[in-house]
Amino acid sequence: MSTILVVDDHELTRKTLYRRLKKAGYVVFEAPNAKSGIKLLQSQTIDLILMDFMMKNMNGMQTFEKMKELKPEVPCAMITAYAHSGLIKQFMAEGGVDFMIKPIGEDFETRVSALLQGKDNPAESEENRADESEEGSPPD
Amino acid sequence: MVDTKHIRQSKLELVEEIEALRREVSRLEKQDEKQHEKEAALLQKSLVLQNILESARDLSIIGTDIRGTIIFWNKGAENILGYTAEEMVGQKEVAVLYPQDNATLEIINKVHRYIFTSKKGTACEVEEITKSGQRLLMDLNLSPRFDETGKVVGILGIGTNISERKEVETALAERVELSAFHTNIVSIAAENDSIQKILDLSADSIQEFYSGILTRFWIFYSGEKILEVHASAESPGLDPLPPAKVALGEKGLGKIVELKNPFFSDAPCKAPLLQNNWAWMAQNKIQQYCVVPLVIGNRILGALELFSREPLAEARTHGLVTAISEISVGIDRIRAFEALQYSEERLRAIVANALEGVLTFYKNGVIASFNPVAELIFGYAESEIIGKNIKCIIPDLCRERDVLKGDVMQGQQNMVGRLSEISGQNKNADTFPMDLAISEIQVPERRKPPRSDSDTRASLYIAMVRDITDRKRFEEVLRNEKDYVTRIIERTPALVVGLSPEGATRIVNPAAEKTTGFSAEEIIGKNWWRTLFPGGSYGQVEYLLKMIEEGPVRNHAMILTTRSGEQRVVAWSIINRFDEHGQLTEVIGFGTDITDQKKVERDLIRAAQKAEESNRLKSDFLGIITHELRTPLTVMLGNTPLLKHPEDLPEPKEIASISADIEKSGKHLLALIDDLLDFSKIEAGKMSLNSEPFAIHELVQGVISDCQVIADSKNLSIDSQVESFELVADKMRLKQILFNLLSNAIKFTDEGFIRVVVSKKDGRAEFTVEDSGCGLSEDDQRVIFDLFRQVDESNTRAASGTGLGLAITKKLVELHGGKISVTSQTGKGSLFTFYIPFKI
Repeated sequence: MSTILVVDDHELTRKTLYRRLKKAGYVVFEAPNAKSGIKLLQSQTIDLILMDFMMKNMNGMQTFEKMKELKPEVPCAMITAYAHSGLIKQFMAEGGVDFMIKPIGEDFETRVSALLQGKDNPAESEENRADESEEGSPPD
Repeated sequence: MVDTKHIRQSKLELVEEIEALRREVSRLEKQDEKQHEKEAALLQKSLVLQNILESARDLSIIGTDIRGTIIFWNKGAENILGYTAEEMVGQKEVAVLYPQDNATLEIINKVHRYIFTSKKGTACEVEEITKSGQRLLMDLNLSPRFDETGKVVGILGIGTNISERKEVETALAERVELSAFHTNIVSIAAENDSIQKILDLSADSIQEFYSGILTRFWIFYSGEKILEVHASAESPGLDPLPPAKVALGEKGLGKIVELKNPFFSDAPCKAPLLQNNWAWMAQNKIQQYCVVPLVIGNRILGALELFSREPLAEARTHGLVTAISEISVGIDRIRAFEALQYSEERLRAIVANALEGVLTFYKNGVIASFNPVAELIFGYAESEIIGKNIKCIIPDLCRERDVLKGDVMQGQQNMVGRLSEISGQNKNADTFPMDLAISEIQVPERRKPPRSDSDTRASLYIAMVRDITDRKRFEEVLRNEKDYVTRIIERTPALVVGLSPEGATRIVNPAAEKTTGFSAEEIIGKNWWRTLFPGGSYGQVEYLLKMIEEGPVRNHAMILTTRSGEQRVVAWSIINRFDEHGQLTEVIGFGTDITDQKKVERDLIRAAQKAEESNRLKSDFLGIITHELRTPLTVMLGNTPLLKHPEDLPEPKEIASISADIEKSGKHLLALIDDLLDFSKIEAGKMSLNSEPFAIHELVQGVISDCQVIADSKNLSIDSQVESFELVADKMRLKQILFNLLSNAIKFTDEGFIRVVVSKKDGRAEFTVEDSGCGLSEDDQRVIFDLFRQVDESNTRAASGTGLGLAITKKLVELHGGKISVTSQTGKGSLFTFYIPFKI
């Protein structure tokens, strides 16, 4: 079962994503700000990070940079209502795996699944991560 | 001395006398005298006649008989020949009187024979010998003497001594010969063009005329002081006489020539000077030696040397000297001519190849020559311009009347011998500038053209011309360039100053005068730096001078103090000028007054920053608006799929929660849209106030009680202190203002207090909303009311506002004619204060 970390300062949004991912069979950790997100990343085994951009103190981009330093192997997708092309380019260039613009559509689960499947590819992942993701792959 | 004339005179007198005597005799015969008396008288007369005959001193009258014996010897004969009648009468004439040579005797015999046979008289010239042995040449008139029968009985000879006359005649002939020789020499000297030819011909002529054995011409080379034989004539088979070279002052010849006087020796074999030639001269029987130097003025050209076996008569020595002087003149003439010709040729070559136009013209302006460069300059061929007047190519050379007067340079003497600039005119009548140098040529006397060629040609001028069109153009360009540079310096807004190495002001341009306020008169000579950087500001100069030492200074800004004490910023670029020894001679400063520029720069930067900021804010605002609109939509659209499938619905509790979230988001979205509409209304100036009078206390309390509901959720209570007074305003908008401020206070305050104070102050209603919340940074306070501006984006999330509240609030206060401000301290809360007039 894959574990997903949702970092978003908007409570209702966080709740919404939680509901959708939970229903799709993922283990979901929620963080309302960068600080708690980083804490969760360090303490839990995370397969995918879904990162908001507009957040208090540290925005999504800054949080992503920080997390990349800590765990570069964990893929991170940005999911934000702030659809600035410069930001998209910057994020993807820095190693982000996807950029989703709110509001999320009905294909949300499919995209998340695709991101995790890419990660499941043994050729591209470390062995233990591959094993873990195999175990944690969401039931369809 | 008897000359012919005299003799003839004597003869005539004699004849006349005889005639007179005859007349006397006949007259006597005619007289009736006694015959005896007559005869006696006649005899007497005859005796007188005889006396006369005897007494004639200059005529020798000698009578001989048939055998030649002298029977009569008069006084004249005695006088001429020295013998007395006593001595001679009875002597045989031939044996005594005539030299016993064949020629003379033959003449005598012949004459005697003629007289005896023809019985007629005759004349002859023959020599006679005097008693003293002197030979005299006598002119004899011989006539037969008859007896009563007509038989020739003897000869009567009347003789005249013609020796002297003969000498004179010989001398005359010699003169004629000398004269012919001289003429020959003169023509040789005058008609030949070559010195060699003159010498050769002259040597032959002298050799012949003077019966020379050896005749040599020596020519002197002054540079080498050597005399060298250039021509000689010699008798056939003569031994050569070396040497052919003699140094001046050496040996016989050299010494003689050096004295410049003719030298004649009729005993050359004894003359000490000629010792080196004694043997040769003796061998060749030389009796006469002559040296005649060829001298012109004081200058030695050479010498003639003549060896002869015959002594030279005086006349001939003179003749020789004269001839040699003619030859000297001839040689000099040729030399001078050759020199002149050489220099003329050289000059001609120079003129032909000159880089400048060279032309000559006569005094009357008529052009005499025109070199190729002149042809190029003026476009005329030499052949077409020669004979024309100089005025046609140099129209400004002189006045027309000088041309008419025939002396073009008369009024222009100042132009002779110096360079002038003048206009030239070419064949196409185009004028062009040129340099002109005119010199007068002094024509040597003998080379002047003949007088008949008219007097106007007495002077010749040479003019050198150079077309200076290009140079002029270049000068013009230079001048323009200089003017141009000067104009630039005069007109440039840049400050231009020239300073001595010590800083003394030499040059300031108007821009420098304008900026500094000092006029050129005031500052020139003064120290530029000390004047403009007084007191403490001089430190800048010290720094600059250090920079100058290190290298070029470009756009170095310095603050100078103007005459009026104003400070201006000038950026300087400094150029150092050095002399050829590398010594600093001048410091030139180019300054730009950037005082205004600096200000403009600052203003521009500010404006640019503002514009940039404004753009960024606009784009940020749109991004935020989008974000704010999409966020509630995310909640709404993100949850609905969970409720779409009746067979797979969540728990009822979860459904309730989802519904609440969707509702909340929908409401937020609505509020956002309302704010946006308000804001755009205000922005578009379409917001109108609905003013009405109302009691402020009531209104404020209403708002507070509304807000208290929200505050309650955070356990906050809203204190209030509200004065009671009436206000005329838009109730709804005033409520909105207060609501915005209060809701903000609640949003950002977690504990402490929220206080609302309303009072009448300075004739207006003043409202304050104070909280003990997180407060605002100074930066935030500055921008909190700005359009498109929100405090830290993240705060809006916490406050869950639209981010437009305060901007709208400020607009609404301003619409009421009031003002809003904030004071705050981070972490210690904020105080918003606004006032509005009691009545709009």
